Order: sequence, then C-alpha cells, then structure tokens
Amino acid sequence: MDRSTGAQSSQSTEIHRHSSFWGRSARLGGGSGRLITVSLSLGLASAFALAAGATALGRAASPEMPEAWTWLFPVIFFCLAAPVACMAAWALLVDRSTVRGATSNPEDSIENRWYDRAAQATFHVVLPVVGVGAGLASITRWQADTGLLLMAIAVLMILVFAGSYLWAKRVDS
Amino acid sequence: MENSLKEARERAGWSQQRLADELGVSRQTVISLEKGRYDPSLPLAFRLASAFGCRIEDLFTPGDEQA
Repeated sequence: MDRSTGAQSSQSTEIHRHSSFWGRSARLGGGSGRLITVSLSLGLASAFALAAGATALGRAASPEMPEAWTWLFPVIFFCLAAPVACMAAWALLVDRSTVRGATSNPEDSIENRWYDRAAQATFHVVLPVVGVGAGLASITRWQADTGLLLMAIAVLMILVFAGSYLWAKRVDS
Repeated sequence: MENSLKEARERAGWSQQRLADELGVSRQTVISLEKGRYDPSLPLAFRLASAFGCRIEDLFTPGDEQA
C-alpha cells in the first residue's frame, strides 16, 4: 500500500474511534452526556422564554383572549419550540469533528454547491416577485393581513429553495 | 474537465465511501467528481492527489474546450 494512503487511512480510523452519534463539545468538555444535558437545559429554557414572550405579546395585542387560551397557547408553543431549541443548542455547542459520519470538509462537498445555487435562485426569484407585488399593491391599494402576507413570502422562499436544490442535485448527479 | 479518479480509486481498491471518508467529503461528492459533473476546489484537488500518491495533473486534465 502506498505510504500516503496508509497514513490517511490510519488518520480516518483515529477520527472514527473518538466520534460518537451525538458527539462532544470542546467548549464544555466531557462526553456526550454532558453535551446532551446542557443542550436540553438550554433548549428547554429558551423554549419556555419564547413561549412566555409570545403569550405576553399575544395578550397585549388581544386582551379579549379566552381564558383557556391563555394557558393552552404557551403549552402548544412550548411543545413545538422545545425540540427545535434543543437541537439548535446542540448544533451550536457540538464539535463537528466528534460526530460520527459528519464530513470534515463540508465546504468542499457538492451539497454545498447545491445549497449556494438554491440560495441564489431563491434570491433571484423572490426579489422580483416581492418587488412587482409591492408595486401592484401600491397601484391598486390592495390591503392584506400582514402576518398572512409574510407567511406567504416565507412559503414561496421555501418552495423555490427546495425546488432549486432538488434541480441542482438532479443536474449534478 | 476530465479525470481518472474512478480508475485511481479502483486501483487502490477503495469504495466510493472509503474515498469520501479519506477526503472528508460526502459520497455524493465522489460520485459527481468521477462523473465529471463537479470540479474540485484546489484544496480538495490537493487532497485527492495526496490520497492517491500522485500529482493533480495525473488525475485531472482540461477538457477539449479548455485545452
């Protein structure tokens, strides 16, 4: 076996030996257990704070909110936000090189190019759509619910991004 | 750009996943590289050459329109 390939092979074996499914955090030290514990704590605390904040905003905007909704809304919000907040905390704390299966040079992977292309396509599609829409709305004095309008723009961006990513993947595969 | 990555990989007896692990990229990246659908960055090209113990020019040649 070529010496350079042998050296590369033993290096990748060494990396895999110290990696695990959840990985570890260089900042926190310790093993996966500490990382998971801290991630869960931060995530749950963040979700609780977000739920409380959203409820306070909702009450300020709608003082006539039904009594049952004042506890149901934060519970639902918390349940939806908690998994996302916990995973976000994990992603921020984890050392990628300790996660089993994680590529060490994602910037060189083709998926990175697909992401860039999809992001560019999203910008080039959504900007003219929003621009033309804003112009037409100004001319026709069309009024729309702000929340629904922003949600529609977000959905458009998600659809364009997903479609562009899949198209780029199809072209390059 | 044309390349002889597949031949080099098969001579080394490596699977696509094994080469991907050596390079620190995804297996899909290796597939696209071998098919010539994706040109590597310069650091990746150097890692490829190092993995196979050869020069970059031994693995990659410019296509007809670039020659």
